[in-house]
Amino acid sequence: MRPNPKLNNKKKILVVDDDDNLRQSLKAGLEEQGFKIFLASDGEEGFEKAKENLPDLILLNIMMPKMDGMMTTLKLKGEKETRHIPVLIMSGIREKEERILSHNVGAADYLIKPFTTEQLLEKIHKLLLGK
Amino acid sequence: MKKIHLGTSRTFGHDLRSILASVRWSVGLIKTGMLGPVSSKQKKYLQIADDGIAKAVELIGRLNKVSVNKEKNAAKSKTK
Repeated sequence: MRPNPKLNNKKKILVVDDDDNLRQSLKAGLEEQGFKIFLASDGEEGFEKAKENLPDLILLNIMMPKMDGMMTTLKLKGEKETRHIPVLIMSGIREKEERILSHNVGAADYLIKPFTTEQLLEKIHKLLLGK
Repeated sequence: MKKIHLGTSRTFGHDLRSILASVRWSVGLIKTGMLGPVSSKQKKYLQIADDGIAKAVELIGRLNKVSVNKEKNAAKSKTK
């Protein structure tokens, strides 16, 4: 799988996760794929960055300080400017209830950590390009 | 106390999965050739790393199950 900068050009992704290593590695890897990446380390910062940058997709962790992923999704879906942005939940909790709840608050999809490179890119392409 | 214990094991599982996510993602980027050509010898070692991650994930799942079962058994014996 080689980068396809033409396909991904100018698509903006906001990564919200309190794990610094994951944030930085996702940023580096997704930039290689031609995406423009914004980072936030908690739900509150993620919500502000989403309103400021209006990304095409948000990758969002569930368990985070200040504001968790569920509450962040609810807030994003309650704002006129951000409600259309698809949210992909990245969860380290393997529980059915979490998956159902994330769907109920308006998340577009759900991925359990640790995901493979192929799994994440497939979900991103599906949500961004409908593929 | 029980709630705290269950919550703690849940948090540990979540935190370990987050750590492994960055490792698996990084290994995957190299292994799939997205960052440049990879020799078969390099692929072999990356596969070993990937298999280790899969085993660690399996172990986290098993530990979570043990923890949940312990909580259930403790709750049962208390009601008896």
